Amino acid sequence: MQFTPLQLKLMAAMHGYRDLLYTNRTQTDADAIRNVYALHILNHVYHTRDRVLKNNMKIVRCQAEEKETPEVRDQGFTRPKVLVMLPTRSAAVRLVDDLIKLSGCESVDKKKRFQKEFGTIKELEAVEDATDYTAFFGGNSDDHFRVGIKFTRKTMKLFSEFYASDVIIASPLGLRTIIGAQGEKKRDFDFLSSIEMLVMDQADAFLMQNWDHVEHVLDHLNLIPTDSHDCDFSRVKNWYLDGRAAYVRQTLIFSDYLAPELNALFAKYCRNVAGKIKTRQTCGGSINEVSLQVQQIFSRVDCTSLAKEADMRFNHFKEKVFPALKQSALQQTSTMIFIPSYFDYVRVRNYLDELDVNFVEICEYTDVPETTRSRSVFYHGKCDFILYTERVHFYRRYRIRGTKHIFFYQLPEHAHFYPELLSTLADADDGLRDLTISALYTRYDQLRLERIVGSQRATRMIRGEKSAYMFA
Amino acid sequence: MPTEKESPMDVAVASDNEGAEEQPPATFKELGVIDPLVEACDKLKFKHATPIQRESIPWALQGRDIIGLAQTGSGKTAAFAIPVLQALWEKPSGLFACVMAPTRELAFQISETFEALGSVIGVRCAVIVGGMDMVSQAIALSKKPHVIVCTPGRLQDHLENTKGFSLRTLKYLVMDEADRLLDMDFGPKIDQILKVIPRERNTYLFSATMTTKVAKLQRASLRNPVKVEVSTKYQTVTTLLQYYIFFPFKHKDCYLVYLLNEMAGNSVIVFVRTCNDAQRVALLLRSLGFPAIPLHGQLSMDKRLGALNKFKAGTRSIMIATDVAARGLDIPFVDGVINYDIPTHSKEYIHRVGRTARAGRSGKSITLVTQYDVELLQRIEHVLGRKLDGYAVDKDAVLMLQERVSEAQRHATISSKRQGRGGGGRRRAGDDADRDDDEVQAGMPQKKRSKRGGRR
Repeated sequence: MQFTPLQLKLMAAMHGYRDLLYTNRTQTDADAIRNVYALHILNHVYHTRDRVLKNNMKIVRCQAEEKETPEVRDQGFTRPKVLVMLPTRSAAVRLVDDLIKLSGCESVDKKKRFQKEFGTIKELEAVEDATDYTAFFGGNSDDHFRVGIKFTRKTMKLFSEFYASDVIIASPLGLRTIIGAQGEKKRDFDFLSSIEMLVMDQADAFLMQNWDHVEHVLDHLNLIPTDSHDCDFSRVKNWYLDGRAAYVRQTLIFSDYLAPELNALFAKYCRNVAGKIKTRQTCGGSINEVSLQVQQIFSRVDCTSLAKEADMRFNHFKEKVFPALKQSALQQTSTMIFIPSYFDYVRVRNYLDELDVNFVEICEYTDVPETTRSRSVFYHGKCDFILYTERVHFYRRYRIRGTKHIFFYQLPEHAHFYPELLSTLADADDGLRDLTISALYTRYDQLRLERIVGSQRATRMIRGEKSAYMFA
Repeated sequence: MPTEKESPMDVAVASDNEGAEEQPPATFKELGVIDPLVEACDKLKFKHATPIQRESIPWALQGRDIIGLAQTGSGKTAAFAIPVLQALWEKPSGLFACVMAPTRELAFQISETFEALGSVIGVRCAVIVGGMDMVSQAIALSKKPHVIVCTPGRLQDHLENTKGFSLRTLKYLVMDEADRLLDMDFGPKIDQILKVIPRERNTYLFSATMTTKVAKLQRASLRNPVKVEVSTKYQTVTTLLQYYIFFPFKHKDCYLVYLLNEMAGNSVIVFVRTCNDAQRVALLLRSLGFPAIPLHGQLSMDKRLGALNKFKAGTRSIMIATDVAARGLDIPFVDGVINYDIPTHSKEYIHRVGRTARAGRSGKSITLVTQYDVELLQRIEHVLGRKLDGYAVDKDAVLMLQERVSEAQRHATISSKRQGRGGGGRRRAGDDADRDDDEVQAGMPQKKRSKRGGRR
């Protein structure tokens, strides 16, 4: 097997045990990336195992010869040394399949159970049209799972007990339910004390799931355990004893795009003394994929601090945007208000409620019958506005028919949602002239903005004198 | 300790030590202590070796096992710490020495001495006692400290349950307060520990008295020891004024309050027999506005250390203690000891009053004697070889306190019952009562009085 150029670059970056934040993951690279980190994981596990076994032999030999045993410090408090966080069971299936192929193990323990609970690789490979939606939700898309893997000389044991596992593959939610919160009686996070390598693949998906869980897990990583779990303290590495394990952990993060949350996580939790590497992408902008000839207006909300951003945006909406929407001959009906964040969504919804505006809403917590009803009401023009969130679009990909105007309260994280949402406008039957698109952005939205309008333009739009930019 | 009579005798090599009584006070340098340690002693203001140090250090430096019979406060800790540190200096290695002490407080105190004396040579110490987190202790042990100071129970626990910990490299074993160790039923634990440590080692055994049990332990663990004895008889120092007060049992609390009033501003330890008593008396005194703090075995380890530190720091000047505090604790500036309950062993009496009048300072001890305790008092007087003086009190003045004291008694009983009911049983009661914010201390009497008015 040959490495692709990308794999070679990644391998070089990972091999020095430096932290890596790779944000250029694409659908086509996904397999290559997974393949190469699977190899890196196995390399680490087998290296460590060999060293421990060699030292065991040395100690036994010294004891047999009644010599003084040398001091060997080659272990952590607990056995698990690699933690892989993945968003879905199907992603776990793909990784386990890679691990099986690369490990060269003769047999795999509990493979049947794994296939039953997680699905098989064949099912996943059978999916033909590989859009990002089918890639993510194909197969078993459950996000509550955890599985320990133990490597012995010839077999790979799935579903091994955590404290006897080398690798743990889990979703943030799966770990969160074991870790528990402070004050809960039954909680356990000692198995995270000696993680030497943390891999987060499809990290962008965690943003759509629950980012809190990710941070909660990272908060409980590399702590000094509360119980000894039969650990041989004389062989525990000194940096573990001193509580410095977090500084020697390698963290690998792969994501489709960069978000402020990822940046913060990389700065706060990745404190590897070996250093860190962050990739940067320049984007052409998904706006180029928009096939409609329609005017798109981006207006900037100037704000002074990140803490005030949400308030200032809301005030701008309340004072400038919404009155204009209400008064405009065109936009006062058939308008979608797209709101990425649920918090903003609640705020806007309450405000519209107060004003007694005729609107319907679809968010991630709306049930299916309600959604169907809302969509039909909106389509038939019985209401003027529809509120729509990014997360519900991520999970359901509704085409909200009857939309003639879209107002982006904030731009979506997923750049391709922009042309996707705009394409629903093509369904509108009264020609293209009356369609409008408008969006708000602040300087803290640079990452989102540059993915949609392109890097060069984004810089100009953030720094420029003008506060409104038009695309057509 | 200028008053202690030295009568050293060396069982193994008796002839070497004749005429020791007339020896002038020796400096550490003269005893053969290396310069870095002499420097450390200077820093700690140890100018001259105390008798026990003078007798034991030269033997210890020759590599002999030692039995030391000496009372607390005679400089025992340094007597074994210095030779251990000197040996460590010559041949440093991890897990070099292990010191066993009967109480947790004593263990901490010993480790402080080691750290103070050994700071110059960079000694690392670990305290391994019950009531603390096992994992953090296991981590401390795995870092191979030079000296472990422990209580036998917890050490044995680690030897059994902590993987990768052994005392195979141990060179020095010290058993401090051996009689007390054995009294506290640590015997079997010590036997188990002795089995797993190397025979090729030096052992120092220090004890206040030579009981048969100690003699047995000596035969089991020491090889060809030198016996160093300072002050064979039970003795108390002359700077200590010892009194007793005789009165009917029912006025006991009253007299205690009177005495504490008399001694207001001084730091006093009141010894009681049981943990419950300690708790009750502390509550009683606190409700009368005294800065009292209890110290007994039913408090959590943190509370015990906290209580001790508060007393040492002077934020609480009255400590109500059981015999956990009777021995070994070196708290300077204790002005008085009150024996609320007369000790059942005369030995214990000497230990208790030994908390005051330390290192040449003066002190006062007062023993409360009721109609039931006369015989015990006589026994103590017999052992001391002298009669105690009666403490002059104004009986009417004492009885004038009666009303307020009985009110406080009632209050103490109620609040200790309430704490008891609050769930968690005795431990809980202890922890609660130890929460001594100043609000409670200062505000209580007024509050109580008003309550009482209501009831009438």
